[in-house]
Amino acid sequence: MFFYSIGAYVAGILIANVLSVLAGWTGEPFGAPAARARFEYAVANPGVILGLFLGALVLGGFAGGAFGLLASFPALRLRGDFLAITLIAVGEVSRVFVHAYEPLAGGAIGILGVPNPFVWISGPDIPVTAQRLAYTAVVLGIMVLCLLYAERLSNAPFGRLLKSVRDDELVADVLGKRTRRVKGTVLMIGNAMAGVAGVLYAFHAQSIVAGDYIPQVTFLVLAMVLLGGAANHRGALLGAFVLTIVDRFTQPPVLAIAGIFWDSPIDLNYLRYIAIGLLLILVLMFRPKGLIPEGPVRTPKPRDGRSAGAAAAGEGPSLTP
Amino acid sequence: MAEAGGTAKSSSKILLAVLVALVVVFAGTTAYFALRPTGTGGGTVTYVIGVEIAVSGPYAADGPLRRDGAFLAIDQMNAQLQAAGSNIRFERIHVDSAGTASGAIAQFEALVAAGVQVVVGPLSSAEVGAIAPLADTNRVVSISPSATAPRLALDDFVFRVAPNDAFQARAVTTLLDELGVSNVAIMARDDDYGRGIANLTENIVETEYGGAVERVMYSTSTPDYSADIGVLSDRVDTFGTGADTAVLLVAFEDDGIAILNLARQDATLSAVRWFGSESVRRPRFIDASAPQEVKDFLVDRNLTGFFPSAASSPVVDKFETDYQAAFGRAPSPYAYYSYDAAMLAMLSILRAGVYDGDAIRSVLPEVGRTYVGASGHKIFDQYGDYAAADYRIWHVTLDGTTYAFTETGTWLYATDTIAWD
Repeated sequence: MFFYSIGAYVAGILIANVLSVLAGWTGEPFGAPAARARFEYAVANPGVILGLFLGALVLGGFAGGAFGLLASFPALRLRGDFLAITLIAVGEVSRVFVHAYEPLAGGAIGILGVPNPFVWISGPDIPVTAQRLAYTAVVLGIMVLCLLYAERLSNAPFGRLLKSVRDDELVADVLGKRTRRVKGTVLMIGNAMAGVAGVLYAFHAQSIVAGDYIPQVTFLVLAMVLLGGAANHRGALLGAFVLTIVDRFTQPPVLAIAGIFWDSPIDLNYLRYIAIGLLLILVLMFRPKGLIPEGPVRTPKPRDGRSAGAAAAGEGPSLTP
Repeated sequence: MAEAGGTAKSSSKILLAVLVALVVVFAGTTAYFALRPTGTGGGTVTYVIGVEIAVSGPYAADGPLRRDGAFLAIDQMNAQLQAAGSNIRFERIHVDSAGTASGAIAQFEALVAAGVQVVVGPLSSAEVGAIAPLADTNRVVSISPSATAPRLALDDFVFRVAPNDAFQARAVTTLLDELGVSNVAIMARDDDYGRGIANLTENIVETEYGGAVERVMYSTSTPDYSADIGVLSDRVDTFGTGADTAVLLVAFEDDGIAILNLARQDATLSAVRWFGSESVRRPRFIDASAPQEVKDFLVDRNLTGFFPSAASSPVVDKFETDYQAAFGRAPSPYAYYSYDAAMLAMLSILRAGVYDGDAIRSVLPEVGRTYVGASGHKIFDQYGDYAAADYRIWHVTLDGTTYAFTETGTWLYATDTIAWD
């Protein structure tokens, strides 16, 4: 959640400052009038908003990775739950700071007016959904790239090293693996991705409010991973998909599309929360490893003619730290 | 191993059975609501009103009361249309934004996807700020019953039927000045609402009245306010506990009651006059669920505040009677506004004659100009915000065993003066 919010703040601060200046706005950069000025400038200057979007992605990823590397220093001393609690606490401190220090990111109301990078796709014959579709395509593309990279990393010797550190850090240490560097590397890579995700969310939401980056966001992502299956990318993807589908397709507007208008005395929104919670409890009870349990590492046949087993055992060149 | 495999298979079967049962329950329930007779025959024209009013998170207590205000308006309008022989009906889609900006965005998008052209809500300024770009982009009208931040003033698709915080701050400071209070300790929620009131009040007291202001902004995400109360007590102590010192509380129900419960045990804070923001005039502060000691403290400290409510009138009385009859409880202050927001949405659709965001937006100011509802007139300024409002003054009283918000006067916007009843 913390690293995700870092990406969002980077995008918001970049847009609020740089785009405002380019748009000729000299007043308070976070409110509605500034947002309107930025929006109009972005419509007229597609190259600028696309460039800022790409810049925000790079900066957001870099900032997420840098903070991830910083966070790895306490990780040298902490393990498991204690590390998670520490990172959540850091996230809360940063949220409270951004919330309280208004000049940084607009405080309680936040930064309004982060234009969709495709806001210039507009015209009398173009539906407003065109902007959304274009942006969705970009988000999906970046997701696929991240997934491919993570999959490749997991199936590389580095992925096996990660599993060994997870399963028994002491053994990995004894075998000469530099487990501290491994933790730092994985926190940096994972949080760079989280930073990119934060940037993508900021341009989707078109506003950044510190109050959104609360621990529940972390727990929602955790619930997706637990539901789908921890320690495998397909499981995480399936968990996110299932939870999102269940959430979205039980919403009153979706039912309304099917011609169903809920006017029962019992609020449908409360029923949804109960049903989703129940679903998670049932999965944890009956499929504690998730819908897709962790499988063996898929070792591709090496090109130098060695057996897959030998390569998996780490014989020969290694990319591990 | 065989036993373990058998257990896993049996677990999977149980899980599958439960999931199937869940699907059947959902499908059955939705089918029931879809297929039951609705009482409207063929040829009925249905317009949909989106109701984006949070009923969880910070609005878990007051949100349902506000939601019901909008529901009552829709039910009453349908009854009137039916009585008039019209073939027009309004349906509602209620979504819960949970009081967060991200929740507001997600739910607003869902309403837009369902083809909704006008939305009653969201409630808070942070939520409204978040959905404003979406409202503009999709040309969908949003009518917020309670977003009050001045920063949101813009000629856009967002309308606000409650006066912004600048009015309330002016009313509060005028009263403080009239009562001779020059030292104000503000205890406020550290969110868009609390900061808005605190900033504006501080600015007016210090620059226009030459008074002194100390602020204690408390986090809404913690249930323990003892440290904040300690700081507040110190600040008040530096002012002294004379008649020229007072505390202004800007709080919602849960946090407000917890703060008052701590304050009553503090000798310094129990020795000064207390004032409250309009959010303190919510039923929970004095109903049966509130601690007796807190209610006594409110009476003892003569807690006084404002609310932009219309003076008693047949319209107000009718709304209160109907609300009580429909839901078995009294409306909270902002339920009046959500009722009016829903009424304005429906009247604008009827006036426009088409279900289209642009058309609704263009007629809404004119509809508001001729509308007097449960929360008074609805004249909008150039930004689609409530143009002007008088504020009723209330204080907490005890009559026998009954606690009440008793109104004693009005702050008049036009003259910036107070007229006592």
